[in-house]
Amino acid sequence: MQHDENRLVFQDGQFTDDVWVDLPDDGPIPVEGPAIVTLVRLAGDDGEYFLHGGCRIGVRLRPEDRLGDLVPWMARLELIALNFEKFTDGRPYSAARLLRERMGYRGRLRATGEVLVDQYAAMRRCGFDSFVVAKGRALRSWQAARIEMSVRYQAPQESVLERRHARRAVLEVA
Amino acid sequence: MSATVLEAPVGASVTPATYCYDAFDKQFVAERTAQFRDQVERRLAGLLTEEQFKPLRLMNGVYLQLHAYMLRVAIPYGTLSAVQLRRLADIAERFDKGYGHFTTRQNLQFNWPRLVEIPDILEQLAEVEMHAIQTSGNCIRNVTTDQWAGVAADEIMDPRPWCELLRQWSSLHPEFSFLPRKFKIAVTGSPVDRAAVATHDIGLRMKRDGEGRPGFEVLAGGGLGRTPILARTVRAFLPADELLAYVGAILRVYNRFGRRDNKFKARIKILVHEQGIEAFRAAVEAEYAAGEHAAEAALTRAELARIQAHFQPIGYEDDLPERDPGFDRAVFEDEVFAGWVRGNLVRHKVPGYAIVNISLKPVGGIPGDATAAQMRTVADLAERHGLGEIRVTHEQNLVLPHVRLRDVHAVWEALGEAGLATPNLGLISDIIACPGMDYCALATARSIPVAQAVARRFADLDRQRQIGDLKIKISGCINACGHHHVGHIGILGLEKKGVESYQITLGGDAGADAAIGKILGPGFAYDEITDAVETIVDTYLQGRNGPGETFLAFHARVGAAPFKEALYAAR
Repeated sequence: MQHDENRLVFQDGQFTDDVWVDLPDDGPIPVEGPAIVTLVRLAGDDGEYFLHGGCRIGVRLRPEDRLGDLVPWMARLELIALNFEKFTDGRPYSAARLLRERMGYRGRLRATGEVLVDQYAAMRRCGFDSFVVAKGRALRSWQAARIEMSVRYQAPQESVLERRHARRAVLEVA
Repeated sequence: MSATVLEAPVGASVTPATYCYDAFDKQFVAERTAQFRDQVERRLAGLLTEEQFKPLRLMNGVYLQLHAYMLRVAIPYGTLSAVQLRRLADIAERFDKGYGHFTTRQNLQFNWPRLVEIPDILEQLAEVEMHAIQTSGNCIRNVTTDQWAGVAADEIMDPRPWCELLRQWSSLHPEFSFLPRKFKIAVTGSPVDRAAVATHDIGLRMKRDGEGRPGFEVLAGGGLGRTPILARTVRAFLPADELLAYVGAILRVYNRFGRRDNKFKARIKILVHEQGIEAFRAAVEAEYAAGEHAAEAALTRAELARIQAHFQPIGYEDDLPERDPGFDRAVFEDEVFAGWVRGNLVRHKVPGYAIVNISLKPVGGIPGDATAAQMRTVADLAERHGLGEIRVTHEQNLVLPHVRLRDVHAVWEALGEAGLATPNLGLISDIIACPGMDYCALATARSIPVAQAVARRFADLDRQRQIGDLKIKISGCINACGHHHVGHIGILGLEKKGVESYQITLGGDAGADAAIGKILGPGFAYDEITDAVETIVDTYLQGRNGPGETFLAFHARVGAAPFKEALYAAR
C-alpha cells in the first residue's frame, strides 16, 4: 500500500502526485481511503462495506472485466482506472465511452499502464480525465509534445459535422 | 486591337466534380501534418523508441520496407483531380526516384522517401487537399469503391459521397485508432460489384427499399490474407442515414471482442467466423439498439446533402448524340485504335461520352507503376478532355471518367506517345501483383518478375483477345496483397527450404458472385510457373465450348481435373 515514486498523475492540466493507493486483494481496507480495488474485491465479501462505508473508493478494471458488474457501486465510485496493457490495445477507449455515455459515470476516469502522450488526445476525447505517466523518458515526451488537433470529425465532443450544421443554421437565420 | 482571340487551353480552369476541402478539412490536415512533424522530430531526438514510433508512423502511411521507408498516400475512393495527380508527379521527382506505384487499394506508394523529408512531402500533399492518414496501421483504412462510380450506366447511386462521409468520420477516430488489426471498408453503388466488397472487413452494397429510399446491405467479416473468408450479411437493408452509427456499432463490437492474442487471428473475419454470423449479428444489433442515434442520423442527412453537392457532375456538354461520326470513322479506319477501344473503353451514362481506361500494365512493365511524366500526361489529358478528373482502380490502372467520344481518338494518341495505350484491360496481361520480394519486407517470393514473365509470354494481343476475360493475380506471400485468392488464376509465392515455390489456385472471383479460388496441387518453381500458366490457358482453349465460354465458366463446368491432368500427369 504505497505510492509509486516512479509515476506522476496528469489531470486538470497539470502533473500532481497520486493520492490514490492501489489496494491488493488481500490487504487491509483503509478507513478513509482513497483506495483502488479490483473488480474481484469490489464484488466480493467486502462489497457491502464498499457500498455503505465511508472509505473513498475506486476500482481498477482489466480489459476483459464486464462493465455491467459495476452497476451496484456506480454512485459510490470516485475513480475508475482502465488499464492499457499495451498502448496498442484499444479496448479501454470503448470501455471509457460506454462508462461515460451509456452508464452515466461522472467520476474520475483514469488511464493506467502504457499511457503515452501521443494517445492523450484520443483518451481524453473518449472520457479519460486522469493519466498515470511514468517518470523518465515518457514524462519528458509529455512535456515536449504539445501539438493537439483542434478539429474533430466525431462525437462525443463537438464535431466538424455539428460545427458545419451550426454555420448552416446561421445562414438560414441570415 | 486585333480580332484574333487566343484560344484558352480548353479545360485548364476546370473544377472537377470531386470533394473540395472546407476550412475545417484544411485545418485538420494542416494540424495533422504539424503533429507528425513533431513526432518525427521526437523520434530523431530519441524521445520515442522505434516501438513507440511505429504505430504513429503507420497511422500516417510510413512503412519501413526492405531497402527504405515507404510512404503510402491516400487517394480517397480512388478519385483524383488533375491538380492532385500533377502534385504527385512533382513529389515523385523531387523526393523519390521519378515514379510512383498505384496500389490495389486505390492508393499511391512512394518507395524511396527519406524519413526527415516525409513531413515536407505531407505539406506538399496538404496544399492540394491530400494526406497519408490511416493508409496503414490497425485502424480504419482508405475507403475504396467502384472506379466507375458516378459514371457507370448500371449504378443505383454514386457511392462516393458516402465514402467521403466515412473518410471524415473515420479520420483519427478516438475510439477506433488501435483496433486489433487493420480495417477496410468498400462500397459499391452498382449491383455489378467492381469494388470486391465481399473481401473487405465491411462491405456496403447500395440498395433501395420498396419505397425507393436509399440504403445499404451491410456485410462484415470478409478478408483475404492467410485465411480467405467472404463477408456475411449483417443487415439486409440499413436506411442510408443510419450508416455511421451502424458502422460504429460493428467497430465497437470488433474493438472490444476481436482477438488480440494472435496477430494472424485478429481480423474481424475471425471474430465473425468464431462467433458465428448469428451471434455476431446479435451482438452488433444489441450494441446498436443500446445507443441513441437520431441526432447523428439528422446530422448525417444534412452533411450528406452538403457533400453530394460537390459530386454533381458539371461541365457535360448537353444533348450530344449517342454516336460521334469522327469516332466511328476512326474505329473503322484504324485497327489498332479499334482494338484499344474494344478493350479499354466503357459505356458512360451520359450520351456522347465514354469512360477511358488507361492500362498501367505494359508488357514487361511493373504493374501499377507510373512515371512522373506519365502522371503529368494523364493530368493534362484530364484537364483538356476529361473534366479534370482521374480515377485509380483497385486493379492498379487509371481512368479518365468523362471523355467526349469526339475526343477519344486524340486522347488515345497522346496516351500512346506516353506509353499508356496498352489495350489489355481485363485480359490475361492485366495482372494484379503485389510488390513482392523486390520491395516488401514481408514477402517470401518475387511477384513482379512473375507478372512480367507471364505478360511477356502472352504478349501477342490476338492471343490475349482469343483467351478473353481472364484475371491473374499474384501475391508474394501469404498476406495476399496481390488478391490471389480471387484471381481466376491465382499465384501465391512461398518459400520452401530457401527456394521460391508458386502455388496455383483456380476459380477465384472478386465480383458480385465472389468466390475463393481452390488450390490446384503442388507448387511450381520460379522457372516453371510461366509454363504452368500457359498449360492452364491451353487446357481452357482446347476444352471450351467456343469463345462464349469464359475461363471461369469453363472451370465451373469441368472442375480442376483437366487442369491437374495437364499439369501433373507428366511429372
